[in-house]
Amino acid sequence: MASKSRVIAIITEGATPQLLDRWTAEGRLPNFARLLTEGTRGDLVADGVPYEPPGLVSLLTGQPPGEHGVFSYWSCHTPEYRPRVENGESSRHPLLWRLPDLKGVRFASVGLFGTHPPAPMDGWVVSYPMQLTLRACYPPGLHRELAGHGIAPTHDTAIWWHGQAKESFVPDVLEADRRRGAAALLLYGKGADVVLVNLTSIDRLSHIYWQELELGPEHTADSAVFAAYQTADRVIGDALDRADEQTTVLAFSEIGFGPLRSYCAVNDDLADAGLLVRNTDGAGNTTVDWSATTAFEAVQGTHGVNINLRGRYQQGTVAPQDYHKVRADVAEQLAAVINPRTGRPMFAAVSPSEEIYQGAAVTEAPDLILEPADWRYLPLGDQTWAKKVHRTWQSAWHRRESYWALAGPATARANAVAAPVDITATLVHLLGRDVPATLPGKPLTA
Amino acid sequence: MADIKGRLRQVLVESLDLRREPDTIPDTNLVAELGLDSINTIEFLIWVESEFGIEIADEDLSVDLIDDLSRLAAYVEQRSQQTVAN
Repeated sequence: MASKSRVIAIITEGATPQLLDRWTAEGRLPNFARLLTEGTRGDLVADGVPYEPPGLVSLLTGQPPGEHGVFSYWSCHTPEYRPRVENGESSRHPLLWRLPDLKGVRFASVGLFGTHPPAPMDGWVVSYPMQLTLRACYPPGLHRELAGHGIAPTHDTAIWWHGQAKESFVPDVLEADRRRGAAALLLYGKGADVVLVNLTSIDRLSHIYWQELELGPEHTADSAVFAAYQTADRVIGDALDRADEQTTVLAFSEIGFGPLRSYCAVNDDLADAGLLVRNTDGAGNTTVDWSATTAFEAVQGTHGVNINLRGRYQQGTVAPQDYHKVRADVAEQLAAVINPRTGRPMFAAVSPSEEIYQGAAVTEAPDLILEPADWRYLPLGDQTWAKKVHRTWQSAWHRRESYWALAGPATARANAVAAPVDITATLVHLLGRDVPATLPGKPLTA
Repeated sequence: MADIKGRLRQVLVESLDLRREPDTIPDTNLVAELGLDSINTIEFLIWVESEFGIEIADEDLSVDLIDDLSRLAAYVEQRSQQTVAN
């Protein structure tokens, strides 16, 4: 393979194979169709619970969640029980462009969680900040440079959904992706060897507007979700058009999507079992009595339950020597919970985290991981942040199954089933480099 | 201060591509007057940093800061002095 091989990797975050297949077959996504026709594709399956942060950090580090230790946008354990915002400094492993094995490779990364705050590097970063900031780019002048091309980065935290009309929200979300795509190709033109760009509108709009898809195929053209797929389709088309003969275009999503009927408060089940105690004040406000609580839901999106372990939490009640027995008891109680909406068990499995995630950072994961029996009914999660994102208004959530596809000078094993770390290994291999022994992924192109 | 406010008006026009003369921008109620939101506010303040050679801390980002030109000018002046002192 030539040493000047390059890669444009486009993350169509939240893209689900069923919709891709349907809309490409109908001729609605001509550039996805081009990618699939000119190249090869396969399935991508998320590790553990399908969520953007663990998947993206796996891509960025080449390590599975049990090793890098990022399971959510927020930490799973803090002494004061309030999840803390995670960022690029939360991972236990370096980002790809810090690996000695990849010295000399110029990376450009646009819009990936896990890259904020941006640090000096031989390349370019438009980070994914979790708060409003003026410092989301490296080099610092990159924002002004992109603005000069009419594609100033707009961050998801600046486009917040609070129930405003679709017409005043969706165009901004789509425009942010258009700019991300354009910025990625501009940086490709400036000489980046690897361009990573994350398009978030499929995920964001699927959460909110999935119910439009349930109106029937005659409403597809007007649906916000389809508009997001179209936006990604245009970015893929631009990349295929711009890529030279030594450049591979790789598209994938670290998560898929599917319908949601309701989030279910596992804390209610824990309270019913006497494992969580609540206090109610005179005004009717309810709080958790941590000093009397044994177990509680972990932060949203982790499908986790934590044991109130002494020494880890300010008001821990479970002695370290009792941890495993208590955890097993809590798991047994939760396994017996019936979903009142279906009359069937709520969970297909309640597993110790080390059975789901393996690695040195598994202690950062919730103590128990819940596998929903029916993915239309999902654990609600800790409410500290859930209320800020209007989580209970959503009509869809992630699924494990998504896709990868690539076209260009390299050939991949068609229909290979990939994990996120395999995408990282594939990127390295596409550059003509040996995959470092420290990376567990297997290249799809080998 | 008047000079800073004049430069801020010019930056507003250039960064937000406003179709108006800088001296028509009022001192107060800028959010409503110019349609400032979280997207174009970031854009404007990045230009302000560049124009005045200062750093605006994330924790200082607020609607109050950009809604009143006198308040923003005072902030810019304070940050400029801190930059010089450092």
